[in-house]
Amino acid sequence: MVVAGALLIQGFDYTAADLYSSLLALGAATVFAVVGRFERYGINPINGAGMIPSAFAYACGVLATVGVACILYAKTGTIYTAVPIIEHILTVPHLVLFVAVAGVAANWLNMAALVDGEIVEVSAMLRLGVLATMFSGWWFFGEDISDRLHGGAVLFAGVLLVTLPLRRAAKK
Amino acid sequence: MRLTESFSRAVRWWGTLALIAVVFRTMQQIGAKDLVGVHQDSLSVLLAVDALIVVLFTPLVVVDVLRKLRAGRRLWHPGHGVGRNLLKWMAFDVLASLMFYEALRVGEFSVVGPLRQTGTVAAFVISYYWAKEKKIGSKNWRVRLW
Repeated sequence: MVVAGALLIQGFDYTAADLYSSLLALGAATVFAVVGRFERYGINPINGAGMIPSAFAYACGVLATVGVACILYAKTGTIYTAVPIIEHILTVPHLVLFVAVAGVAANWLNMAALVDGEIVEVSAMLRLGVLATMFSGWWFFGEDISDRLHGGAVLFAGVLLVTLPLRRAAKK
Repeated sequence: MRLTESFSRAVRWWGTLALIAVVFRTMQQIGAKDLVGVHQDSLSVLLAVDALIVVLFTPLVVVDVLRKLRAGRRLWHPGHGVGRNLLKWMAFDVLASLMFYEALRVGEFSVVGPLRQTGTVAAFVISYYWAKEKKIGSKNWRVRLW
């Protein structure tokens, strides 16, 4: 159902360019799932490193920034191409709220959820963003999603089916 | 019966946090799409966003960590490979982020966004077979981390 939904959500009228971005997004989703494994290990006090969740989220953020800066420098010879983008964000209030404030909150809440919820459960909750992001495309970017609704619904149902936490009823 | 239990677990505190995280994460992705649409440089946009998040996160983390250190918590458990784990995290996160930002740049948000959320099967496999989380609902974590 997940795969069928992923195919259907592209609509019936898609091009090779659509397929490229879709494959990138699917690949990113898979790699992000591996990232979740390291996050869980980093804050696990029993079998893992047991870091304070906020400190771990912060250390991850710093490392990611350094990593991206190194790649950008290796590719272009400078990291100052990011400066005008930072200025752009800081001069547009909704971008400050959406990018910076929401980014910090999402990182922290994700770690906090992982403290008690297991990867598969927290993952299930996070995947509820399937529909939220699809409708955001329509709401914020004026994209036509009329032929994607059924695909989104199938994708959403598949995601729920695979990852919602189910526990067998206790035997009497 | 099983569905009822599933939803009852979803509304527990970690489930609520994860749901709120979904909203914030979606907002962040909308902002990212806005930016890559204008600047057309995924790498620079990613660096700018990450740098801003780190700057904004700093005071919050300092307060939280100091509070927990004063209460007797350790920052980490030595000998558990913190550095190695963080480096692995960095490698995978940077790769995934670059892929996603590039997807955002060239694709429509209503397609790329939902597909970003479909690491479901991978998360399931990792959780059950790599992290050995076959017993759902353990309480030990929360007790030890308060």
